[in-house]
Amino acid sequence: MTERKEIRIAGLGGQGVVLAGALLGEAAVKQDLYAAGSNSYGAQARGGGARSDLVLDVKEIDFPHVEHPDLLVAMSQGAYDLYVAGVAGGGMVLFDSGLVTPQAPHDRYGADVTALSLNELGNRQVANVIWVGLIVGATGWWDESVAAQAMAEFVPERFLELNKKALALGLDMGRAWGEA
Amino acid sequence: MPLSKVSNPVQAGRRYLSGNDAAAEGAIAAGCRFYGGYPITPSSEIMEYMSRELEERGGAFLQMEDEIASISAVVGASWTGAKAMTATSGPGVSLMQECLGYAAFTETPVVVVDVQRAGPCTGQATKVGSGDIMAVKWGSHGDYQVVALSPWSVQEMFSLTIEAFNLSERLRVPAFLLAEEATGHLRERVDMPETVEIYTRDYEPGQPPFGADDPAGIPSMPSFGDGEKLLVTGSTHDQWGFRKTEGPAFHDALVRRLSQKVLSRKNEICRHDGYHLDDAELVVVAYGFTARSALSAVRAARSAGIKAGLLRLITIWPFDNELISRVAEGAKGFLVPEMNLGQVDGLVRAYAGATPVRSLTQVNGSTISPAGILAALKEMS
Repeated sequence: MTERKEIRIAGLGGQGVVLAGALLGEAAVKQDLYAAGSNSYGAQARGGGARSDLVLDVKEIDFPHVEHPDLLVAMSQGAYDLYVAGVAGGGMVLFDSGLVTPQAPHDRYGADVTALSLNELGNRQVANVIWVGLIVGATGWWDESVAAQAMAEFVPERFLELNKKALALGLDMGRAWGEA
Repeated sequence: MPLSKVSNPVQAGRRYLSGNDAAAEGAIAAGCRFYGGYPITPSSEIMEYMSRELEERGGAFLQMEDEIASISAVVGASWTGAKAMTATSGPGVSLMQECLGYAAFTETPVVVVDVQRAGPCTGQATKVGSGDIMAVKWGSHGDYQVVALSPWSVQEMFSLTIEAFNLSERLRVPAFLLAEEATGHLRERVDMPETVEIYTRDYEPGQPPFGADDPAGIPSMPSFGDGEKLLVTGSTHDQWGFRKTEGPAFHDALVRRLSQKVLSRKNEICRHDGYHLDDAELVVVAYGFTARSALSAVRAARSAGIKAGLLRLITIWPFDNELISRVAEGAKGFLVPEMNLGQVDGLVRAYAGATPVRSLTQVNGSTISPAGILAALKEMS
């Protein structure tokens, strides 16, 4: 990563959107990048839509909010509909294919992450960590080992093994997207 | 020197922190050992942090029944010798005004972090605003001075909280951290220092706690328990604290000194920051979060061939009027973007001389975008 990147992760309350953003911000700072994160805050965070925005840069960040994301992760149809038009030219859109029906040209990078989490790992709640893996793998903006380290700090010890598997699963799929 | 370098008691190094957590860590680093408060959006994370942390560090934490009681508890704690604070938002600041006047008049160091939201009144509790600029200065009756600092980053939520404590303790005035929701809830990289400089309250046994021969003097401050005969009253008082509710000279000297002890030290208190000011024709005067939008806009304007610069006010109160007059001399125009209806714009106008001033206001509960400031600069150029 050599220049400012804007990332927007959006979905529904309860999908772990905020935690995923915080984890990615922490990982960025650990590898000496500048990071600035903001979350949806207010009534929407307690029910409806949830959003986690993150700005990364190699130098100090002036305006810390996301305006035109270089990466949009849509975990719900509502989030996709609301934010897809704002994606930067050449920006990447990742979506949960079980929950989102995208339009071309944003229909390339979909994965049924919710189902994957449930079927492969037996737990719906690690879907957001699969997403972290997908994001890290697909963009190459983070050092994978640092992302793993940040993840380990964020999750309770008893869920660490499960989350490691989730991260690895996401990374594998994400890398394939990154190379595509 | 009562300003001393000490080891930073919170985790040093590169960290990813929220603004509100950074303000709480700044308070801990500054030596704050009392928090009295009442939770209010969007400041509550500061209170949550202090409720966890103070007990472990030998301090005291009190959740009071409202903001009136909160600031009263803070004033009382300060007179026991503790560095004391509260955090709140606009509605809480409104409730605290009477006791803030009491703190100013009794020369009690207190720190108030005001994480501003969209007011007036209850307004939009979770949305950003910057409408308390005048309230913290003029909210209580009578003439008095306060200190108010405006952080633009999570880093400054930490460092300016320490500075608010240092100035409050040194000048014996209420000091505000005029933060905004957008910075309180921003998570950002912070480079946490190994050491911090903190001010230890001046106390000379036997000296009068409320008087000084110097008309701009700051008296020695004893605490309850030091063994001094200590009277603290919100009525006009002499240098030993005895009520003097008759006699024009007492009142005149006291009120003037309370202002002069701050205003005569403006050069030591006031801080600002400048970007591209050397040859700037259009100067954006901004503070807090909006200064970040302004910096982005100024950089874009420079790329478009517009000679723009940013004057960022770090200290809001006391207001650095000489700075505005000085920058005005070389400028063709000022632009003042604010998340209120022009509270600092009026001050800039008052000291800008012949330099035209344009106000850019936004009170819709969201931050001002760089694009909005850039558009205004293009219109002005």
